[in-house]
Amino acid sequence: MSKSSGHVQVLTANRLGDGAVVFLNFDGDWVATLAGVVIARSPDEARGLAARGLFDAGRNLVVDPYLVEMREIAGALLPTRQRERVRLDGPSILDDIPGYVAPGVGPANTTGTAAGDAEAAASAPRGQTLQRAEAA
Amino acid sequence: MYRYDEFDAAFVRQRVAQFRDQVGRRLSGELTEDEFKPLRLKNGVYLQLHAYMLRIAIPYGTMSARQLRKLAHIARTYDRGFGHFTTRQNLQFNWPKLSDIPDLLAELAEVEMHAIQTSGNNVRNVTADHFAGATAEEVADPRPYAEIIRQWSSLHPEFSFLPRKFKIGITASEHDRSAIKTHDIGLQLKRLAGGGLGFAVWVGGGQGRTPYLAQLIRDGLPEADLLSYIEAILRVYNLYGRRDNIHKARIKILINSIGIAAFRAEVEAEWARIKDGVLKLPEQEIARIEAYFAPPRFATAPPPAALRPADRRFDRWVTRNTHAHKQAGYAIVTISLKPIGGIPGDASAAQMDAVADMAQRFSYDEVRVSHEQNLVLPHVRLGDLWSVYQELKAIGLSEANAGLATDIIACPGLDYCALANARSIPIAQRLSARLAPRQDLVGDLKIKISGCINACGHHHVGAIGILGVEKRGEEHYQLLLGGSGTESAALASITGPGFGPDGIVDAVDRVIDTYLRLRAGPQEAFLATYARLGAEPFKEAIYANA
Amino acid sequence: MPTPDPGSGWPAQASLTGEVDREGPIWKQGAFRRDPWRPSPAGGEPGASPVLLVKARWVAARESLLSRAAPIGLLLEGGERVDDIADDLARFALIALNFAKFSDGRAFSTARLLREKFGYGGELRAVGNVLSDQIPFMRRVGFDAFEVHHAPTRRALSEGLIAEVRLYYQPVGAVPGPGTRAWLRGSIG
Repeated sequence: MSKSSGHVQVLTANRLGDGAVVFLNFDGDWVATLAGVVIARSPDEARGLAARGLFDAGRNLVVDPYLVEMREIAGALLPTRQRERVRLDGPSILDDIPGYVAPGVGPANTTGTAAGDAEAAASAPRGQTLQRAEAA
Repeated sequence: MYRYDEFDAAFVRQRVAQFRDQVGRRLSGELTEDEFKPLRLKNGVYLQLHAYMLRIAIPYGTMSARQLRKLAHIARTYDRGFGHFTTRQNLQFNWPKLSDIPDLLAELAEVEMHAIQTSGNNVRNVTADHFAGATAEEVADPRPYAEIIRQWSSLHPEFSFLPRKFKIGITASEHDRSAIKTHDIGLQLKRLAGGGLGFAVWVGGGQGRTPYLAQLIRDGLPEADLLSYIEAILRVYNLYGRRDNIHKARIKILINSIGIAAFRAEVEAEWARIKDGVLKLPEQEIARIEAYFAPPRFATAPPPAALRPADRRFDRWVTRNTHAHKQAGYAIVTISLKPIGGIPGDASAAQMDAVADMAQRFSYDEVRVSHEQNLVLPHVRLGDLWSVYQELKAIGLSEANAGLATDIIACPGLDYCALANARSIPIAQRLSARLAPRQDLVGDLKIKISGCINACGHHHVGAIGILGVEKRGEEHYQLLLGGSGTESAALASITGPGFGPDGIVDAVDRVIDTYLRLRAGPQEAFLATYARLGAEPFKEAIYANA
Repeated sequence: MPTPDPGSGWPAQASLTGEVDREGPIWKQGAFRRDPWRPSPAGGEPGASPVLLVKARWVAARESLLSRAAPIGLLLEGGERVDDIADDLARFALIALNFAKFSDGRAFSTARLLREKFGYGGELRAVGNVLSDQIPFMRRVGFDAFEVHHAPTRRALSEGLIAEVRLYYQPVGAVPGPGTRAWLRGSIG
């Protein structure tokens, strides 16, 4: 990872309560979008970010934090690994699932917390990686 | 089917209360993730790529209409409107919130269901022939024994922290629909020389990174000794299975390392000590459990003169998707969850409700899940087949492809699974669409796809197996040929270098071309042609112009 | 004179039970207690106090230790066999089985063999990674003492708050305890 290769790192994890994919943003919040995500551009920054992940896991905000390598293209972020692209965008086959009901669209899920509502809003139509990064 | 008594009902309620307490302690931070993980796994809760996943047990694949309706309700209330039926006869939901799961489990307990030990290093769901209790081929219904093992293994204090997961499968017919040779313990129910019932016991099968077929450890085990023998096997495994490397921790590795003879000696020494103790099964208790599985009181109305108005598609469906029933005038119906181009094994809440309805009206309130990710209505009157077909058509589940090339088995793969290296579902979809036009011409052919070496798609025992791997950050697929999970079990062999997502679909196409070109005739199925000719002609075709 | 846990089914044996002490490391007979046992000093003589030996030490020094008056205990790691010292087991007032990781379940089988195959009646103690969710299983296979350092587990034990499923599908031991499913007792009851 180096500036010349155009690869950077972001910190991701799953939220403890509902398992949603989240990223650490500049406000120190874990959010379901790449908008405002903290970007590590050097090994030192990456180490600091990873440590922050462990710290927040210890505070029971998130589970399984790790760094994701991204390519920076025209201000947008794209994961270098296919696995991370799928994790970011959601299952590639949602359109083909019989009876699939996107969150926030169908019958409300029961927990009805503010965090739950925010998650539902953030995860409704999973857009393109590049668009989301451009909104940052 | 088995019905809970007071003891069983209280057990699952207490279990829900225990897990609710554990979830609470996790959410409050009193339990770390490391401490919580084995506990949640024992309740079937995984953390996957996008969310938690809950795997619900469907014991030996048998359900009532009421239970299936509850699963539909849970799909709608706690998840995103659908569920996935698995290769171990269970059901998976992909988006439950951890905080909701205790309530979800409480609802399941109301209909005598649970998620106990569907994950974790303990005994998992005992799987059985999905035609059990309906086929004439069986010696007797194997499911009472599966139920006995299920109860004995539930929260077993000695075997809750095994080196690794433990899978038991049971069959009662010569033709093995349960793939028992791929299980840690495989049981074949048979009639013994003296006339009573007993088992051939196989150990050490398993897929994953290093696949093995099970070896015979004891034949002719009397039914009364079933639990004590299994306990002896598990004790030896628990003590001597490797704990240092999770990829070498299954019983198949232990047996391969010390040899079946040495393993048998350890087991039989321990078994000799315990066989006449408290685990000896009393005849009246076996009979008591068997009574729950007594066949329904079949109507004795004569079969109709004609099944229906002339309809070629219906004919195809009857030919492919129904199987002979032991009771005259009845048939076993396979509901394919593999619509052409669809996602193998998925069903919407609405489809589940409709199938539950059909089970109630047409199949004596019983429905099964097969390890091939299809559903089965076990007891359908011939005169009702037409109505069943129409209703399946209305919900998009009438594809007449049971056992054909488009009846593909695929794990959830990288679209869902944190362990996966590649997506399997899109490959299944594309293969299904590509092969559908020739599927009748090709005949019986099992294609099985796994998205990683854990082999949940059972690719090692596919006639055509596909393994997804990661190569330089991208999805890549290996092709294997010649596997089978039946009584003539065999592990598939890799053909050579792998392919990208487009290449693998083309490669399978070329394999099919080769088969059609070289088979002795339409009566020679793919596996027979492969056995006769070997891999060479297929490899030549696959890698021509490579 | 210490009495065994009611309902444990294990025959009474003289074993050492430390004084009740809320900060003590050993949960036994319903309370936290001081530990009367010491690990054997590396090299040199064990001395006169109750001493806990690893198996290799016992095997090496067996002759000289057999005549020792002070209590001797045995500490076993997961996977260490006991059948090769079966004749000596009655000599130990304490056998401690180490759970190196809480997921290492070998000691559950060792415990059952000690109690049921070899009839060991002394204190059977779980040490190492002992957490509240394993304790009910440990009790059932024959442990009657627990060395606990994990704070939430200590709290749960002290307050009697360990959530357990108190109905058992499988008999463990020669005499199935209360709550065991009747029919799995076989010919008993």
